[in-house]
Amino acid sequence: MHEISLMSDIMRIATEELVRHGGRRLTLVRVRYGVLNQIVPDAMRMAFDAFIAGTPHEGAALELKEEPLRLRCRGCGKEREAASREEMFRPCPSCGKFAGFECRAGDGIFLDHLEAE
Amino acid sequence: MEIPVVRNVLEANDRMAARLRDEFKRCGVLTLNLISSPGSGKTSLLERTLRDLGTEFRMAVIEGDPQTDNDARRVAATGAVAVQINTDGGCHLDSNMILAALENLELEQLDILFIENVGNLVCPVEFDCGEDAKIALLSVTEGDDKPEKYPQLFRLAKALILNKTDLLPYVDFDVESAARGACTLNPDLAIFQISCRDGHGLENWYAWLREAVRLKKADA
Ligand SMILES: Nc1nc2c(ncn2[C@@H]2O[C@H](COP(=O)(O)OP(=O)(O)OP(=O)(O)O)[C@@H](O)[C@H]2O)c(=O)[nH]1
Ligand SMILES: [Mg+2]
Ligand SMILES: [Zn+2]
Repeated sequence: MHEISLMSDIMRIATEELVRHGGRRLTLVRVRYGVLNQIVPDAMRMAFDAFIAGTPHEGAALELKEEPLRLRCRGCGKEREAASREEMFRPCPSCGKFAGFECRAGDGIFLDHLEAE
Repeated sequence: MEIPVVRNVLEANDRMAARLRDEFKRCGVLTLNLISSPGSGKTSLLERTLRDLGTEFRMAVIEGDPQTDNDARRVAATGAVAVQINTDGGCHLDSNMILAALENLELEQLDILFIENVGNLVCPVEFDCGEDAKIALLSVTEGDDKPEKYPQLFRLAKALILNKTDLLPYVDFDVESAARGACTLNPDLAIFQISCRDGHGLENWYAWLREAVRLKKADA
């Protein structure tokens, strides 16, 4: 459900950048989000379509990229790519401990790239 | 035309949250953002806490609800100040809503500000409200697998309150397993088993609150 407010922020930033670069019409919006952000792509697309309907950007494409998790063990400092969220509940494969971890990637929502004319 | 960007989509909310955090710090107000599914007992916990600690601390509540002011009225009945925000169906509070609610509060006259977020385990987690800590509530009727299903909240919360322990004899909720899941994500998480119905375990929560208020004042 938070996809609607996220999309409102995405479109605000996108039109800001468009104006700054002297463009008139967005043709592509690329958004990258982490596995941890629990975003529903269909809800994102629906929100996007609703926001661009009846604007000069109607027909623009939305590209969604899910970024995989990278965990850094707080015990031994080793970093690893996690294939799924379940990986967070397994011990560190390097030191065998549950020492907690930092997320080096896979948490965060970014507007990455725009194309315009 | 190609426009490389890389901007945090939540930058506007995060900026406002940082301003609020400065203000809470200046006033020495401990601010706690309560997050859970609908019905886990956020308002019940507040009613208890406001009554039991009402002479010890000056407290106020910002109540976020999609509709109605029922919770604000329940909180106001304890004598505490309650400010209602109706999100009009929206699934979370954000920092601008908190800013608007602050118009009705005297921060300098407060020790603790509670934010009762909209009942939802996903959306409120992403929107920083300037709080010192997110407090996750989970009631034993919801299933012990919630940390696995909703890791972001349990990873980012500073405390987890397991509520409705009076119902444990009637449900298959493995406290050990819920606590293990949450602690794997978040080894520093403080966990409290409580019942808002019979009051069991509340003293531990109050002790945590006292210590958090003390640290906040020391830091102001
Ligand atoms: N048995 C039992 N019931 C409880 C306990 N705590 C709360 N309840 C009941 O659970 C129901 C929901 O409690 P609330 O405090 O309204 O929950 P909430 O999280 O504020 O709900 P929303 O604001 O709608 O998301 C109420 O009927 C409470 O009386 C408890 O410890 N034990
Ligand atoms: Mg409530
Ligand atoms: Zn390790």
